[in-house]
Amino acid sequence: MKSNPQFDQVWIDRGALLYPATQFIREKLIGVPADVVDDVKFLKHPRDPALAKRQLVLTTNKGVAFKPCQGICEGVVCCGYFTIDIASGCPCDCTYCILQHYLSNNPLTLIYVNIEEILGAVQKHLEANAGHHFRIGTGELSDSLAYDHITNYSKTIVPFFAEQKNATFEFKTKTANIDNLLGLRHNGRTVVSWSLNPQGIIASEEKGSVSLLERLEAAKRCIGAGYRVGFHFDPMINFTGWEDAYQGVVEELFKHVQPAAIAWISLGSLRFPPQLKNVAEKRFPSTKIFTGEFVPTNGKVRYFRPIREEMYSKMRGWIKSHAPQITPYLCMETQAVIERYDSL
Amino acid sequence: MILQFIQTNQINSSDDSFRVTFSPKLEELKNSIKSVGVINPITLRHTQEGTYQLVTGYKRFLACQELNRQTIPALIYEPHDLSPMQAFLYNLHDNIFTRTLNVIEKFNVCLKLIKVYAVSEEEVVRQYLPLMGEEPSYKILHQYLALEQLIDSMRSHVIETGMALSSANRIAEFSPSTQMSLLSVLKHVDPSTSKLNELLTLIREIAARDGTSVEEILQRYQLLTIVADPSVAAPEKVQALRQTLRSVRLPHLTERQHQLTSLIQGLQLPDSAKLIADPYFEDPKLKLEYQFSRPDELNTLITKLQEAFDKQQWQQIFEWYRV
Repeated sequence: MKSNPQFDQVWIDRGALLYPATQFIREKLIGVPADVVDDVKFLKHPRDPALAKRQLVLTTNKGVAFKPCQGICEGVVCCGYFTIDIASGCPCDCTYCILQHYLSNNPLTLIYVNIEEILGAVQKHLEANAGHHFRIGTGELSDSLAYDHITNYSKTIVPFFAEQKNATFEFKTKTANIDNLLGLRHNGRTVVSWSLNPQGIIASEEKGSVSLLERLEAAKRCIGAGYRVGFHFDPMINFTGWEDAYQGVVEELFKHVQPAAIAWISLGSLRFPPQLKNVAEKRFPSTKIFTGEFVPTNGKVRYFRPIREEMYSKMRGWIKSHAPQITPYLCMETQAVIERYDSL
Repeated sequence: MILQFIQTNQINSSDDSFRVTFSPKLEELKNSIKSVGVINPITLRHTQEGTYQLVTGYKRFLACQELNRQTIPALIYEPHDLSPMQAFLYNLHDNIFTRTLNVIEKFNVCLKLIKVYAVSEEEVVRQYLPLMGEEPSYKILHQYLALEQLIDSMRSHVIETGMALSSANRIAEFSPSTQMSLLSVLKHVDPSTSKLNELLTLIREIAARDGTSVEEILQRYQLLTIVADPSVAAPEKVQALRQTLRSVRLPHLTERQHQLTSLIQGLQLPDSAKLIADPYFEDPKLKLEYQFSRPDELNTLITKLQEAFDKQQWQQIFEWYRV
């Protein structure tokens, strides 16, 4: 039997059997054992998350798939982002990934096959709030494009948003899985974004993702297809030599990308719920990213404020030296830091 | 099964196949045996080689040995009457329903069930952890199994101090030589579980961050000197250890906290007033607390506060706090 680089087993929720996406994905995963189950809630999963995520569940999203970004918590400023859940679980396997904690009771990879129903709900919401412009993304519970080669969802999502007047859609990824995007009519309504980090961090902490250069080359190809692109320096990691490393990434970014093609750049520093550290250190014992100077803040653990502010201030300076018109925004920061950001 | 008095030297004391007991205290039992002898017979399993394996009564056997008693009453099973697994369960039940097993004994049970008697992890979690008064949790099982990495002297320390499983588990992550070094510090203090876990985490994180050994950290920051001072009380030693390690682990935060403390002290606020800041410098708000029981006390307090606010340090606090 041919092995699949991403999946060892497919479970199909009986209620998902008749959806076209189910059939399409099964055909893409020929050779991977597939079984139909009456209720995916009762599937047992391997205790090792790396093995668990190699089991794919095709099911329907029966809850609210379109909702305000859930990363927000008390005292943290929201950027007004909305998310669509079309998948849950991510192959990038980043050391710092919150999904290790957030999905610890449900670590199998889920792809929701009722994409048309989900987009139908989005359409209703957009029409009901016609006076408001929405930023919407799919990168909350998964990488936006990691499974696009088996779902082809981008071929549904991009044309859908091309028709919407009051929404900008964002794919947020650490992959170079963009082939599906290149021939699509996007009408400027879709932004393709990459998370960026120094190559050293990518190599040690984002092991299932592609290199910095591959990300930037992919961005270049998307720009060639008329897309605007976004970049998220998030999570920035504070380590000895971080200044040179991040300044190097900024240099590399602007070698590949003209500022005019950039829709937005965000900055965010490593933060995590306190429970994540134990989980991540067990899975990635050689990591050092949790040895930074962290303090508890608003239910999460963050770098000590002066450290965060220094990182943001310097990064903004390096970015502005290449693109004076771009002011990076801060993602999920505290009210105090957001208020002080302009004066830093 | 027969009951007979058996020579203690016929019992193979090095065979611990069924034993869960670790580091037993024998004094009271020895006094009892000296007074009235062994009341309840121990249980032995006769092997095909002719030796006797101890099934139950390890402490009675040890006490008799230490008292130089030549014989001990024993119920003896032939091998075909008692399988090894049954013998282990006899021992487990004999102990578990008469006392609470300590952390190392619970580890012994988990390890033997899985490694010697090939019981599945699922069964240990479901059946045996609740029997030992634990939650049926894989996490707890793995915490117990990890104690295999503890050196003997640390195991004894765990029992002597009544250390929690979570702390023992943290220590088991260190190498044997590091455990020895840690023991040289820990034997001088008796921190609470949360304090001990914090100390261990600080040490481990400093070592990881600086790419150095725990031994080097203990030496570099003179932690052994801190705890070995006989004139200092144990809680103060723990506090000193914590402060030292935190200042190394969180240097920017610690420095800021010291600066703020110094500035606030410079205000010379009255004793009944307190200026409180977010210890992590995240929230820019400061809180002033004061207590009084009569109007004239409040008037005096306000006068003194006004004097404090006229000082240079008052403005400095605000300017500095926001940097």
